[in-house]
Amino acid sequence: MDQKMFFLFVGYTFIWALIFWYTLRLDKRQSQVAEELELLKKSLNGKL
Amino acid sequence: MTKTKGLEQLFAWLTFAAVTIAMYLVFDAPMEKTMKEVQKIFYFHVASAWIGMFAFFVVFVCSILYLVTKQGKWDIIAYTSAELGVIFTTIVLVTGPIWARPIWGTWWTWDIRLTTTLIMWFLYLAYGKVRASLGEEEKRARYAAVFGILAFADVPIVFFAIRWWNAMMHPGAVISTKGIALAPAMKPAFFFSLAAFTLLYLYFLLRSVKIEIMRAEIKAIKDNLLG
Repeated sequence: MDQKMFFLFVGYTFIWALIFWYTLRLDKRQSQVAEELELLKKSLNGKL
Repeated sequence: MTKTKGLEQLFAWLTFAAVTIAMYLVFDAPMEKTMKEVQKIFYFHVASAWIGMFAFFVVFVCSILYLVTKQGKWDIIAYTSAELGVIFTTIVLVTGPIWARPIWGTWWTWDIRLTTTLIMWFLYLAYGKVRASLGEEEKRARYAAVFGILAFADVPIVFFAIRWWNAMMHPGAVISTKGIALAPAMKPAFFFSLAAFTLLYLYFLLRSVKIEIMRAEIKAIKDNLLG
Protein backbone atom coordinates (compact mmCIF):
# COMPACT_ATOMS: atom_id res chain seq x y z
CA MET A 1 0.00 0.00 0.00
CA ASP A 2 1.27 3.46 -0.92
CA GLN A 3 2.39 5.43 2.18
CA LYS A 4 -0.09 8.29 1.62
CA MET A 5 -2.93 5.82 1.12
CA PHE A 6 -1.95 4.14 4.39
CA PHE A 7 -2.13 7.46 6.30
CA LEU A 8 -5.51 8.22 4.70
CA PHE A 9 -6.78 4.80 5.80
CA VAL A 10 -5.52 5.34 9.37
CA GLY A 11 -7.09 8.81 9.51
CA TYR A 12 -10.51 7.66 8.35
CA THR A 13 -10.41 4.56 10.56
CA PHE A 14 -9.81 6.79 13.58
CA ILE A 15 -12.65 9.20 12.68
CA TRP A 16 -15.27 6.50 12.20
CA ALA A 17 -14.06 4.39 15.14
CA LEU A 18 -14.41 7.40 17.46
CA ILE A 19 -17.87 8.27 16.11
CA PHE A 20 -18.97 4.63 16.38
CA TRP A 21 -17.59 4.39 19.94
CA TYR A 22 -19.42 7.59 20.97
CA THR A 23 -22.69 6.35 19.40
CA LEU A 24 -22.42 3.08 21.38
CA ARG A 25 -21.61 5.06 24.52
CA LEU A 26 -24.77 7.13 24.07
CA ASP A 27 -26.81 3.96 23.43
CA LYS A 28 -25.51 2.42 26.66
CA ARG A 29 -26.12 5.60 28.69
CA GLN A 30 -29.64 5.93 27.29
CA SER A 31 -30.66 2.35 28.00
CA GLN A 32 -29.22 2.49 31.56
CA VAL A 33 -31.05 5.71 32.35
CA ALA A 34 -34.28 4.56 30.70
CA GLU A 35 -34.17 1.30 32.72
CA GLU A 36 -33.60 3.19 35.98
CA LEU A 37 -36.45 5.58 35.20
CA GLU A 38 -38.79 2.70 34.36
CA LEU A 39 -37.94 0.90 37.62
CA LEU A 40 -38.51 4.07 39.64
CA LYS A 41 -41.85 4.71 37.97
CA LYS A 42 -42.94 1.11 38.64
CA SER A 43 -41.81 1.42 42.25
CA LEU A 44 -43.74 4.68 42.58
CA ASN A 45 -46.88 3.12 41.09
CA GLY A 46 -46.52 0.16 43.43
CA LYS A 47 -46.42 2.48 46.44
CA LEU A 48 -49.53 4.47 45.38
CA MET B 1 -44.04 9.79 22.63
CA THR B 2 -44.33 7.61 19.46
CA LYS B 3 -44.26 10.76 17.29
CA THR B 4 -41.06 11.95 19.03
CA LYS B 5 -39.43 8.54 18.63
CA GLY B 6 -40.41 8.52 14.93
CA LEU B 7 -38.84 11.96 14.42
CA GLU B 8 -35.70 10.85 16.26
CA GLN B 9 -35.33 7.81 14.02
CA LEU B 10 -35.93 9.94 10.93
CA PHE B 11 -33.23 12.35 12.08
CA ALA B 12 -30.87 9.44 12.73
CA TRP B 13 -31.42 8.05 9.22
CA LEU B 14 -31.04 11.52 7.68
CA THR B 15 -27.71 11.91 9.47
CA PHE B 16 -26.56 8.46 8.35
CA ALA B 17 -27.55 9.26 4.74
CA ALA B 18 -25.74 12.62 4.84
CA VAL B 19 -22.58 11.03 6.19
CA THR B 20 -22.70 8.25 3.55
CA ILE B 21 -23.18 10.77 0.73
CA ALA B 22 -20.36 12.91 2.16
CA MET B 23 -18.02 9.89 2.12
CA TYR B 24 -18.94 9.18 -1.51
CA LEU B 25 -18.36 12.81 -2.54
CA VAL B 26 -15.02 12.90 -0.73
CA PHE B 27 -13.73 9.83 -2.54
CA ASP B 28 -15.18 11.05 -5.84
CA ALA B 29 -13.51 14.49 -5.44
CA PRO B 30 -10.37 15.05 -7.51
CA MET B 31 -7.02 14.22 -5.93
CA GLU B 32 -4.79 17.12 -4.97
CA LYS B 33 -1.63 17.18 -7.16
CA THR B 34 1.10 17.27 -4.50
CA MET B 35 -0.48 15.64 -1.46
CA LYS B 36 -2.39 13.02 -3.48
CA GLU B 37 -4.69 10.64 -1.51
CA VAL B 38 -3.82 11.84 2.01
CA GLN B 39 -5.27 15.30 1.22
CA LYS B 40 -8.74 13.76 1.48
CA ILE B 41 -8.38 13.83 5.27
CA PHE B 42 -8.92 17.60 4.81
CA TYR B 43 -12.68 17.31 4.29
CA PHE B 44 -13.49 15.81 7.71
CA HIS B 45 -10.53 17.45 9.45
CA VAL B 46 -11.82 20.95 8.61
CA ALA B 47 -15.47 19.96 9.21
CA SER B 48 -14.52 18.63 12.68
CA ALA B 49 -12.62 21.84 13.46
CA TRP B 50 -15.58 24.07 12.55
CA ILE B 51 -18.08 21.90 14.42
CA GLY B 52 -15.77 21.74 17.46
CA MET B 53 -15.57 25.52 17.59
CA PHE B 54 -19.31 25.83 16.99
CA ALA B 55 -19.96 23.41 19.88
CA PHE B 56 -17.83 25.61 22.17
CA PHE B 57 -19.75 28.67 20.96
CA VAL B 58 -22.95 26.89 22.02
CA VAL B 59 -21.33 26.28 25.45
CA PHE B 60 -20.53 30.02 25.64
CA VAL B 61 -24.06 31.14 24.76
CA CYS B 62 -25.79 28.59 27.00
CA SER B 63 -23.45 29.42 29.90
CA ILE B 64 -24.48 33.08 29.66
CA LEU B 65 -28.15 32.09 29.41
CA TYR B 66 -27.79 29.87 32.48
CA LEU B 67 -26.22 32.65 34.58
CA VAL B 68 -28.93 35.09 33.50
CA THR B 69 -32.00 32.80 33.79
CA LYS B 70 -30.78 30.09 36.26
CA GLN B 71 -32.72 27.56 34.14
CA GLY B 72 -31.20 24.08 34.26
CA LYS B 73 -31.85 23.36 30.59
CA TRP B 74 -29.10 25.83 29.55
CA ASP B 75 -26.62 24.06 31.81
CA ILE B 76 -27.60 20.70 30.27
CA ILE B 77 -27.11 21.95 26.70
CA ALA B 78 -23.81 23.62 27.68
CA TYR B 79 -22.16 20.55 29.10
CA THR B 80 -23.48 18.15 26.46
CA SER B 81 -22.15 20.52 23.79
CA ALA B 82 -18.80 20.77 25.61
CA GLU B 83 -18.43 16.98 25.50
CA LEU B 84 -19.18 16.98 21.77
CA GLY B 85 -16.75 19.83 21.20
CA VAL B 86 -14.03 17.75 22.84
CA ILE B 87 -14.91 14.75 20.63
CA PHE B 88 -14.75 16.77 17.40
CA THR B 89 -11.58 18.59 18.48
CA THR B 90 -10.00 15.20 19.25
CA ILE B 91 -10.70 14.26 15.63
CA VAL B 92 -8.92 17.45 14.54
CA LEU B 93 -5.89 16.87 16.79
CA VAL B 94 -5.46 13.25 15.64
CA THR B 95 -6.22 13.60 11.91
CA GLY B 96 -4.07 16.72 11.65
CA PRO B 97 -0.80 14.94 12.55
CA ILE B 98 -1.82 11.89 10.48
CA TRP B 99 -2.17 14.23 7.48
CA ALA B 100 0.94 16.22 8.42
CA ARG B 101 3.35 13.29 8.79
CA PRO B 102 3.63 12.32 5.10
CA ILE B 103 3.41 15.96 3.92
CA TRP B 104 5.46 17.97 6.43
CA GLY B 105 7.68 15.06 7.47
CA THR B 106 6.70 15.61 11.11
CA TRP B 107 3.73 14.71 13.32
CA TRP B 108 3.57 18.07 15.11
CA THR B 109 4.92 21.60 15.13
CA TRP B 110 4.26 24.36 17.63
CA ASP B 111 2.53 26.32 14.87
CA ILE B 112 0.08 28.95 16.19
CA ARG B 113 -3.02 27.14 14.85
CA LEU B 114 -2.00 23.75 16.23
CA THR B 115 -0.91 25.15 19.61
CA THR B 116 -4.06 27.21 20.21
CA THR B 117 -6.24 24.25 19.16
CA LEU B 118 -4.44 22.02 21.67
CA ILE B 119 -4.97 24.68 24.39
CA MET B 120 -8.68 24.83 23.44
CA TRP B 121 -8.95 21.05 23.79
CA PHE B 122 -7.33 21.14 27.27
CA LEU B 123 -9.61 23.98 28.34
CA TYR B 124 -12.76 22.05 27.55
CA LEU B 125 -11.41 18.85 29.09
CA ALA B 126 -10.86 20.97 32.19
CA TYR B 127 -14.47 22.20 31.91
CA GLY B 128 -15.60 18.59 32.32
CA LYS B 129 -13.25 18.08 35.27
CA VAL B 130 -14.54 21.26 36.97
CA ARG B 131 -18.08 19.93 36.68
CA ALA B 132 -17.15 16.46 37.91
CA SER B 133 -15.33 17.86 40.96
CA LEU B 134 -18.34 19.75 42.33
CA GLY B 135 -21.11 17.83 44.06
CA GLU B 136 -23.70 20.52 44.70
CA GLU B 137 -25.88 21.01 41.60
CA GLU B 138 -26.34 24.77 41.57
CA LYS B 139 -22.70 25.47 42.42
CA ARG B 140 -21.55 23.00 39.73
CA ALA B 141 -23.71 24.67 37.07
CA ARG B 142 -22.61 28.17 38.09
CA TYR B 143 -18.85 27.42 38.19
CA ALA B 144 -19.10 25.51 34.90
CA ALA B 145 -20.97 28.42 33.28
CA VAL B 146 -18.28 30.90 34.34
CA PHE B 147 -15.57 28.52 33.11
CA GLY B 148 -17.48 27.98 29.83
CA ILE B 149 -17.58 31.75 29.23
CA LEU B 150 -13.89 32.31 30.04
CA ALA B 151 -12.67 29.27 28.08
CA PHE B 152 -14.36 30.61 24.95
CA ALA B 153 -11.69 33.35 24.79
CA ASP B 154 -9.39 30.82 23.05
CA VAL B 155 -11.89 29.90 20.32
CA PRO B 156 -11.69 33.11 18.22
CA ILE B 157 -7.90 32.97 18.65
CA VAL B 158 -7.89 29.46 17.12
CA PHE B 159 -10.18 30.59 14.30
CA PHE B 160 -8.30 33.77 13.44
CA ALA B 161 -4.78 32.47 14.21
CA ILE B 162 -3.92 31.76 10.57
CA ARG B 163 -5.36 35.13 9.54
CA TRP B 164 -3.67 37.28 12.21
CA TRP B 165 -0.25 35.61 12.28
CA ASN B 166 1.95 33.99 9.65
CA ALA B 167 1.41 30.33 10.35
CA MET B 168 4.65 28.34 10.08
CA MET B 169 3.21 25.23 8.51
CA HIS B 170 -0.58 25.10 8.73
CA PRO B 171 -2.34 26.00 5.45
CA GLY B 172 -4.27 29.26 5.23
CA ALA B 173 -8.02 29.79 5.68
CA VAL B 174 -10.34 27.87 3.37
CA ILE B 175 -12.91 30.68 3.48
CA SER B 176 -11.74 34.29 3.75
CA THR B 177 -12.49 37.76 2.36
CA LYS B 178 -10.58 36.66 -0.76
CA GLY B 179 -13.11 33.88 -1.41
CA ILE B 180 -13.01 30.08 -1.09
CA ALA B 181 -9.50 28.68 -1.46
CA LEU B 182 -10.63 25.42 -2.97
CA ALA B 183 -10.78 23.97 -6.49
CA PRO B 184 -14.40 24.13 -7.79
CA ALA B 185 -14.56 20.33 -8.11
CA MET B 186 -13.70 19.95 -4.41
CA LYS B 187 -16.39 22.33 -3.13
CA PRO B 188 -19.35 19.88 -3.13
CA ALA B 189 -17.41 17.34 -1.01
CA PHE B 190 -16.23 20.09 1.36
CA PHE B 191 -19.62 21.68 1.95
CA PHE B 192 -21.42 18.35 2.15
CA SER B 193 -18.91 17.07 4.73
CA LEU B 194 -19.55 20.19 6.77
CA ALA B 195 -23.33 19.68 6.49
CA ALA B 196 -23.04 15.99 7.41
CA PHE B 197 -20.93 16.72 10.49
CA THR B 198 -23.32 19.49 11.50
CA LEU B 199 -26.19 16.99 11.38
CA LEU B 200 -24.06 14.50 13.35
CA TYR B 201 -23.37 17.10 16.04
CA LEU B 202 -27.09 17.99 16.27
CA TYR B 203 -28.05 14.30 16.42
CA PHE B 204 -25.58 13.61 19.25
CA LEU B 205 -26.63 16.80 21.05
CA LEU B 206 -30.34 15.91 20.94
CA ARG B 207 -29.68 12.38 22.21
CA SER B 208 -27.37 13.59 25.00
CA VAL B 209 -29.83 16.28 26.10
CA LYS B 210 -32.63 13.68 26.14
CA ILE B 211 -30.51 11.44 28.41
CA GLU B 212 -29.82 14.34 30.78
CA ILE B 213 -33.52 15.25 30.90
CA MET B 214 -34.29 11.62 31.90
CA ARG B 215 -31.57 11.85 34.59
CA ALA B 216 -33.17 15.06 35.90
CA GLU B 217 -36.55 13.26 35.98
CA ILE B 218 -35.00 10.40 38.00
CA LYS B 219 -33.54 12.90 40.46
CA ALA B 220 -36.87 14.68 40.79
CA ILE B 221 -38.68 11.38 41.50
CA LYS B 222 -36.04 10.35 44.08
CA ASP B 223 -36.21 13.78 45.77
CA ASN B 224 -40.00 13.42 45.87
CA LEU B 225 -39.80 9.95 47.42
CA LEU B 226 -37.32 11.10 50.07
CA GLY B 227 -38.91 14.38 51.03
